Amino acid sequence: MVTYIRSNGDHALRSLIDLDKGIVSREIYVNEEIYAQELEHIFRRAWLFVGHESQIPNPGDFVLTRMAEEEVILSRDRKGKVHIFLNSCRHRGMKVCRYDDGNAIVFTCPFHAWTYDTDGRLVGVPHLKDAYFDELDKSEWGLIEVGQLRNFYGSIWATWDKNAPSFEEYLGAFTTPVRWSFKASDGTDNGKELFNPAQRWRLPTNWKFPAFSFAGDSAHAAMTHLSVNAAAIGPQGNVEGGGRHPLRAAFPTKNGYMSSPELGHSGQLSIYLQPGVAEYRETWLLDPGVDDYYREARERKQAKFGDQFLHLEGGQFHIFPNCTMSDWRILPWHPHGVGMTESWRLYQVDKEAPKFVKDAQRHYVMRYCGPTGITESDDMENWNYAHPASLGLTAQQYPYNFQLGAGHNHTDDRVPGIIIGDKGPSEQNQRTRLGRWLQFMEATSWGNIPMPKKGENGHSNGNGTA
Amino acid sequence: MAEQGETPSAANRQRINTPGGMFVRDMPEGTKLRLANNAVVEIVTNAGDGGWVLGRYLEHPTDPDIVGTEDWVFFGDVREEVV
Repeated sequence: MVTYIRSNGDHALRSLIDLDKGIVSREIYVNEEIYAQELEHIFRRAWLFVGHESQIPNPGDFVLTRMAEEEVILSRDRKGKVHIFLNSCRHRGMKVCRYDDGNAIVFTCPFHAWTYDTDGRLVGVPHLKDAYFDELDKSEWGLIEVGQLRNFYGSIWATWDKNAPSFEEYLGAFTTPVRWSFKASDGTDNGKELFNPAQRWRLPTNWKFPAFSFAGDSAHAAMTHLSVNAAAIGPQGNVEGGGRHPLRAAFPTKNGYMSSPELGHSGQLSIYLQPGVAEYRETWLLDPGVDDYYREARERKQAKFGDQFLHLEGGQFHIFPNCTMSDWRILPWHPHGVGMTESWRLYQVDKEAPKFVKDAQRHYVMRYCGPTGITESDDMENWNYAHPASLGLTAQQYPYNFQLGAGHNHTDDRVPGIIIGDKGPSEQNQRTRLGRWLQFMEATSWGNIPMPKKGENGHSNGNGTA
Repeated sequence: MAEQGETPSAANRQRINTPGGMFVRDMPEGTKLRLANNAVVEIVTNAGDGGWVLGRYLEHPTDPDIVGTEDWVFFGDVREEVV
């Protein structure tokens, strides 16, 4: 079957996915050859979340992070410019940096001591004069740098492909929720920082299980998270029966599964039915003083945006291919082999918040998320068992069902470029991601990947609304 | 040679068992070094990795234009400290 796919290219891949019927072959989740093609066709081309400028505030700061399977160095050079380099020496491939984070003057390879400035230039080669006879052109052997890098309100994104569209074109209508994810609680742009270090752990499952499920699969929550909802891990404790999310005041919105089929992004988002911002509701009942901070921030936000419709603000969403986001957490799902996913958790917090507020937020996200949190342990059970149960030859003869809500979507002029599930739950967001997956997989280059015309798909101002 | 964990003093920094070179990792800025080609540099920045220091040329036996410029110096090219 693998040979068949290779020799028949896009026709064979297309035969594995029928989104109109909501039928998807298990093979795309378990096939080694398809996985190899994903690395090349998707992860070498797509814009990927890499990190945040708050992780490298000073010249010489660096942090190791990932772009799919490959480790990269996110660094700030001595002049303050941000770079992303492949963590691999140009001489013989050794990692030039083996600390998770720190501050460096140069990156020196421990193998043969080639050394690179923090701007990536090769600045030192032993025996350059006496044994290379000064014939090695150092300018041609700097660290491998990404094709494009974008600092978007403090968040750092990159693609290896110089021919990829701009980051804002890539996001389309989802420019707005991404921008909001990095605003402070009072609506100030670039108002967040990240807790460090990131949580990192590996899940024995294909990357698409979590990446294509998150913010697209509320149907799982009632059963999967039944116990954690009863455990009352939210900041309000047992008030109103507990729960895992903070309490929020009601505001007239139309909520739903909203996705951009042309670009592959999707989420659980809102259309505002009236301008303005919801009242603040006390929720940090276990941490005295925290509500005072957030209430005052909300009042400033209300003053700023009281006359605006904040469509697509907040919510949880997914940027194709592998980054789930909201305004309090970032969840990159890094592929690490067809049956292994390296999951990262990075959490935003207002950079201007006092320490006790940051501590309360950090404690909340730690009991909610990650390998030691309670909620995502539930999810991991499902993904980690679904993968091996799909490996067998018998299993692979029977496709997955993605029919929930298929054919029942509508559009709304208030959010151009987006389709909305008629009712929740819906698996439209997952179908959207799979559709974009197919487009990337079939294309031979960025020139073959369909893109909406400029000015369409909700990216008229290039920066999102508000 | 310094024992593991010991920081060598200026007086006992010795050549280490490598084709040339000195233990430069902990040398402070301003230290003057004579190189294998007889040039003399002053440490401007020490990378602290034991391999490289950024040096400013104070003397050069064959190329006076290099004096005053900076370049990264590999520890293997350092002959001695100029005290």
